[in-house]
Amino acid sequence: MEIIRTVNLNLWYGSKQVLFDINMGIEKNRVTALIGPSGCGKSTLIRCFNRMNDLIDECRIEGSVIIDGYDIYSEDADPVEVRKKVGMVFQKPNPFPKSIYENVAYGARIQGVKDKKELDRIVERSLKQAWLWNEVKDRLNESALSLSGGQQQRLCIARALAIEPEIILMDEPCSALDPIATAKIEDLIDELEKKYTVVIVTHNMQQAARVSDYTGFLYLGKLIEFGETKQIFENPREELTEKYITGRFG
Amino acid sequence: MKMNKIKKFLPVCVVCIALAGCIGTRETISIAGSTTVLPIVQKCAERYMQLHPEVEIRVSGGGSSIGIKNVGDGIVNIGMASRDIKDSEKSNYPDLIKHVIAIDGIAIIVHPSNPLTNLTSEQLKGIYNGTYTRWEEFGWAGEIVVIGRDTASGTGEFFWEHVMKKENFTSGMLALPSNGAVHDKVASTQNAIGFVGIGYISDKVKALKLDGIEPKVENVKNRVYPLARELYLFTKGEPTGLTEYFINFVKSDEGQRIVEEEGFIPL
Amino acid sequence: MRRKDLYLFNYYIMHLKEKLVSSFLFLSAFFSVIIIFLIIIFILREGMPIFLKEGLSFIFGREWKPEGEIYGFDASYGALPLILATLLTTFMAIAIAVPLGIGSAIFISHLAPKRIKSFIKSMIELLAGIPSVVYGFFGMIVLVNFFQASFNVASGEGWLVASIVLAIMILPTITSISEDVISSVPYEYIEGSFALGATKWRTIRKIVLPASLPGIIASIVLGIGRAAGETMAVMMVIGNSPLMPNLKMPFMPLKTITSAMAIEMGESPTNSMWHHALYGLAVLLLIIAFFVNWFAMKIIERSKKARVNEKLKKYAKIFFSIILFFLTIYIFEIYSIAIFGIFLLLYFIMKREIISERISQKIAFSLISLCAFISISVLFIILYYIFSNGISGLTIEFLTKPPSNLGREGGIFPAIVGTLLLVGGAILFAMPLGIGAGIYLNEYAREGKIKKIILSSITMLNGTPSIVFGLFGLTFFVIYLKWGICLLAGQITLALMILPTIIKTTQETLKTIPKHVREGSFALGATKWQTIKKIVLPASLPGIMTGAILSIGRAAGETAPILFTAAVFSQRFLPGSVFEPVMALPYHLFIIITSVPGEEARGNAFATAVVLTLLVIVLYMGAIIIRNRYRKKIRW
Repeated sequence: MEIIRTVNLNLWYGSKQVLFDINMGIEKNRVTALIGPSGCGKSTLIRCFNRMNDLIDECRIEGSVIIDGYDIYSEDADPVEVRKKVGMVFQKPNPFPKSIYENVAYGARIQGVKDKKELDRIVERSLKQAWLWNEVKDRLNESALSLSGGQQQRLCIARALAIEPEIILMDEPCSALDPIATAKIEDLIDELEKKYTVVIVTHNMQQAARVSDYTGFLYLGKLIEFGETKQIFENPREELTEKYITGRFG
Repeated sequence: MKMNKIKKFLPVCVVCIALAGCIGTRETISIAGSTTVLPIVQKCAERYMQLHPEVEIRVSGGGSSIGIKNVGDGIVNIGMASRDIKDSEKSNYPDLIKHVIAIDGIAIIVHPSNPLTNLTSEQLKGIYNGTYTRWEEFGWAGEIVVIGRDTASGTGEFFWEHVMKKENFTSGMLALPSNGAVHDKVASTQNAIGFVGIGYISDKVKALKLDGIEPKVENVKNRVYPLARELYLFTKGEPTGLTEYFINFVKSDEGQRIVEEEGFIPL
Repeated sequence: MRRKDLYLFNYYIMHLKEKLVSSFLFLSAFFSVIIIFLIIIFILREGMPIFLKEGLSFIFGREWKPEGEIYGFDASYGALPLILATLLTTFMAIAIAVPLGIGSAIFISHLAPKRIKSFIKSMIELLAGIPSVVYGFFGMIVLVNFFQASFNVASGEGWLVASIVLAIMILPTITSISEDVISSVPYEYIEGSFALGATKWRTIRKIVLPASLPGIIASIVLGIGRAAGETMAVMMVIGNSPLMPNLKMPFMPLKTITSAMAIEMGESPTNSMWHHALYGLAVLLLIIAFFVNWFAMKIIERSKKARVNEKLKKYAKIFFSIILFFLTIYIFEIYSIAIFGIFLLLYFIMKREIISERISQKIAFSLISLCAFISISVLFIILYYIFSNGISGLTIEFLTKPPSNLGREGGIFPAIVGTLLLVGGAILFAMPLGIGAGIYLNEYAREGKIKKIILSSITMLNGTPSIVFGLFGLTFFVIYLKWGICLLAGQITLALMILPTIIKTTQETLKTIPKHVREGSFALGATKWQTIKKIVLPASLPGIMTGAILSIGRAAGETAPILFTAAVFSQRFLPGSVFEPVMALPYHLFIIITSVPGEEARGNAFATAVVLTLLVIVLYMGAIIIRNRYRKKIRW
């Protein structure tokens, strides 16, 4: 069943239109990949799902994004509440300059958790879900910045999991990581989709083919094709899609 | 870019030097010290420079102690003082010569709204040593704001010797740096009392009688007013050149006329 | 000569040139070490006798009556009232300025709409340009009388007014530096926080501010240094009676270390114990200044480690709570119960989150906006007051004639010229040395002991209060070199004061030029100096000029350095040589305000203040405009 549905979604940066009439549905508890050449609007699109585009001054949106039956761009919607349901992991790992523990606890504190034991529990659970617990359990009070790139990214994932979102957005989460770390995270994604819905932006087609159940192909702000990953990669309907997949451009 | 900065200020420097050069060789003397004596010497200097356009006389204040110290150290040519030289200063600067140029009285001033008209020396001392702290003791109301002078002041020192009899001033006394400052503070503070040279009395303040005597020029001349003193110019050794001419000018009829104009008593 | 010999000859010449240049640059940088060394030696030498005579009772003695030497009673040299007065006014000033400053900084970086952002920032920086003597003037005439009238006290002078004036003076320092650090917190952190569903206020409170802490502490420290070392403004509003400060009596006259030095220096007999005591005060002042700087560096180093940070915060919280607790009881006695009650109530409201996060964010942001509003209002109130009262006095006659009748009549032409001469000379001395030092430190110096010593010397010079420069100028140029009070002594003293600023701005500007620009030049066969002269320096021009202009503004407005070294109150002719004294605007203003009574004098005082403030503000605005345009223009 669908958990996200965009309806005639258009977006402008200033006077330049960046997204054109996006109509798309994301399936619950599945991994959906968004692929396309640089600048095609994939990152912009997923930032619509947690209203991160609000942070940019000249950004204007028309249309709706319906999550769990509720239009998150309606008049009385609160972006802060939206972001508590839709978590995000960024391209470059961005742990806070705090301890590992505090990084993960931050999200829980936002939810109003104050009890130390409860926080400990949440931190342990999130780090375990991110497959990081064993590596850091003895040094939770050390600075998060002392971790390797791959570990930092898993920490960011744990941090996002700590708020127990329904949906996790990942904006090219592995592009700054080495192959081994990348492989770990791809396996992690596989595990995550059991409890969460994952939308992942990637410019690495092989990665999309590996991890996702559904794929959407964007080009110059338009959704060219959307469907099951197997179908997109083996039997694309659009010519443009086929050209991109076979590496003719992009 | 450095050149630009230099270029900017070069014309200014050139103009200045040129201007100064036009004047030709100049004689210059510097005078510093008591702010009581300052108005007399400043006016005399201006009058003298009018008569002798090639001459430069620089005047600054600072207080009697600064005057004596600077002339003793050779930093200025003439030191103004509203008190006599002290033993410690005599031993530091044994060759200072004293020139009396005027007589002065020290007036007690209060805010114009103060109903008081007279104080005895004992009452005055009592106010300044903290015995009396409120105007209620004198038939008025409010806390007495005691205004005095800082430690460089000859006026302050004279007051300390002759009114306080060398007793300590009350710790709440505001120590101001000049007669002018005392005058202004008393004029703007309702509950204030202060002391200034009588040359500084204006219609912005009210001068009290001391032991029944008004702080008027005649009363100082007649030696009736209790707080009278001499005003001095000090030089290092016997004065020569422009220093000598100027001191003579101050002592001359014209100079003494200025003394009177400024509200002091001529010799 | 054969071709080959000619080539070798040129080669040697070129390298000789390089050697000469790098030696000169090294000397420029090392100059700071020499100067700070000289300052410390001279001040120590003059101050040592009082420490030998009195020992610890100099610092802990409670009676300051050195005038006994002249008056004929037993002189006492207990500096405790002075030290406490300095500490009290400094910390009160910090207590006022830090919340206002950080609030304004947060407002500028996170709340202000884009268009007015740089406007507000520039306005607050303009506050830094107003000369201290003008602040003292404003404090004296407006604040003291205001408190006198509203609180019905006998006299408004005391630590309260002095602290307020000091707070206004250090506000721009704290705001400007804090804003810089707050703005440079990596956007990724902020983004990450928002993505987790945090509100803006939470993000600021929990992410931005902790990350900016080292820089904010640095700004506070600089503020402390400035407040403790401030002379003129404090002198004019504090009452100048060396009484033991009393927290419960904000309207009691006090005397700070700096005002004692400024007031008593002129009258203390040379080589008397009084004289040595004043230099002893300078030693104390330097110790305070250097200690504060050292302490700050330690805190900044520690706060960079995340784990230590959290422990430190806990201890700091407990420490300050205990102090505040006892202070409250001391000041408010019985009423403390009410205060504690209110405090507990607020605490519970916040802990139990009775108010939603939305509302507490609204309250927080209102308070923060209020801070910025207050900061700017202060600027405008002061400027309005000075200008509205002084514009009418700005006649042509005023600007072109010398003063007469003790400054009540005539004009201030010689003072304007004198200020220009002083500042011009100061820049002439400081620019080549400062730029040379900056170039050496950024382009030539290798990491090691010597570089550390040079950098420490510059930091110490930067922290030295202006009155100490004045004292050094007096001791060294006026007395020791026997120049007497003259223009040259003033120029050099001012030059020493602005040197650290020029070195720092040069260094920082040079740092912003990326390495690859230099590498490109080297790859073409240019020597180091050629690269610097032809490529790096021209590109750094705007940045260096900003530093120069800011220094000019500061030099034009400072009184303490020229008080003992160059200034005279009335002079008919302009100085004929550099060995004659000059009039100067800040000094003239100071004397007119404090020594000359009467309406006309007051009117002229306002007019002088206008001229001085205009001069300095125009310079500062120029610097700010150049800096802003420079930031937009050059993109590497």
